[in-house]
Order: sequence, then C-alpha cells, then structure tokens
Amino acid sequence: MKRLKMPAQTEQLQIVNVFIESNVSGALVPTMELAAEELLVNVFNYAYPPDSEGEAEVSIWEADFDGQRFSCFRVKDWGTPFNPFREAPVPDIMMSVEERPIGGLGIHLVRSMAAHYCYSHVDGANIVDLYFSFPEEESQ
Amino acid sequence: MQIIDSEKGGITILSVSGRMDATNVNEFDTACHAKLENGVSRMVIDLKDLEYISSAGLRGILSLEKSVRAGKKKIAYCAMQPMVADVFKISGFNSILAIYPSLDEALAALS
Repeated sequence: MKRLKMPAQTEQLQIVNVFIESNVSGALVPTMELAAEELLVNVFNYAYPPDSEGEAEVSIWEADFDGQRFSCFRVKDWGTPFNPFREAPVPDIMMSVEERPIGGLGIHLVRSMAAHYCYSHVDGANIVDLYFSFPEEESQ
Repeated sequence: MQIIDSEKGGITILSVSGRMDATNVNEFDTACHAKLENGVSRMVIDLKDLEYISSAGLRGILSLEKSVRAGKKKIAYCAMQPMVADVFKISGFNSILAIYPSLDEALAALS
C-alpha cells in the first residue's frame, strides 16, 4: 500500500496529484484526482477547528473484491467524526440555474464515480475507502 | 490554469486551459466577473484545453451563469474534453447550460 501523510492544507492538493500520477494507471488518474480533491477539501476545511493543525493521509492499493479487480483509494483524518455519504446533503441535479444553490456537488461526484464507497470511524479516525473499476475491465 | 481572452464578431471568448480546481477557481471568477463588469454582453467559455474540473470549478461556472442571467446577458460553453463532460453530466449541468461541441457552433448560437 502506498501512503502519503500531509498537513491539512489546500496547497497539499498538488502533492497528492503527483502521488496519484505516480501510483495509478493512466486512465484512472483524473477520476482519482477528482475524488481526492473533493474529499480532502472537506477535510482541510471542516475536519479540524480553525487555526489548529491537523493531518490527512491518502493511500492507494489494488484489491480483488467479490472476484473483481479494483484500484482503491483511502482518505483518512483524525478530525471531527463525519460520514460524508450520510451527512453531506444530496443535491437535486435537476434544479434550474436560478434555484440551484452554489456548491454541494463534491460528494455527489465521488459517489457517482466510485464503483464502491465505504466510510468507517475506527480508533478516532475518519476513513473513506473508494473502489474504482479499471476502465479496460468496465468496457468488457 | 490559464485564461486567454479574445473576441470574434463582438462576442468575447475566454479560453480556459489546464485544471480548474479548489486552488485556482478564484482566478476564473475574477476573469469572468471583470468581463461582465466591463459591459460584455455575449461570452463563450472555450473549454477545449481544460483537462480537469472539480466541484470547486463547477461552483465558478454556476456563479458565472447566475450573474449572466441576472444581467440578461448571453453565454455558451464549448468543446469539452471527456473528463469535463463527465463531471458536467453527473452534476446535471449539461441540461441547464448552453453547451456546444465546437467554438464555431457556440459563436453561431450567440450571433
């Protein structure tokens, strides 16, 4: 498992992108970078009290799940317990421009792009695991 | 992200390249709102060279779209790459925005 730990700061996204680019096969890179950004921006902005220093960790590995191969991505933080898949509001994507609130699409994108998503709170840490199908296997 | 602005037949074209994400969407906001404040009434956002967009980028697009409509101005988007097209589709943006396959089609629609 490849791991990268960082201070909870938005500027770290560029380092995370380099980490993803060096550990994931080409076609999955933009999808995984998107998921990483959406989850990490939430952690950086909300997991820790303002002006306090927190950390986040991302990991990449491959797994065989129910007989299928996946590229997996984990975001871990030690901040306020938060299950994004239950607690983030679900946006109404049919709303008109005038009615739509600005924001709130990040977790919707993550949920839509991952084949499986999982949240756990273990030993004081928020853990989000995402399983992505390999593009070449999806089309078969 | 890089934003290049040009004009064709009285229509302002903003060509956005690279990545639009949480670290730089404010540059897009600033560039677009400066255009609107300068009295631009028809604008095309050319996305041909935009490789990546996140929900932060979508916030910028929606905020621009709201300002354009509030000011009774016109805007179109064109030439999205597959990653950007996917994100627009999943978010329902393709059914609420004027999106065209090419710059020429977007310009024709606003002429």
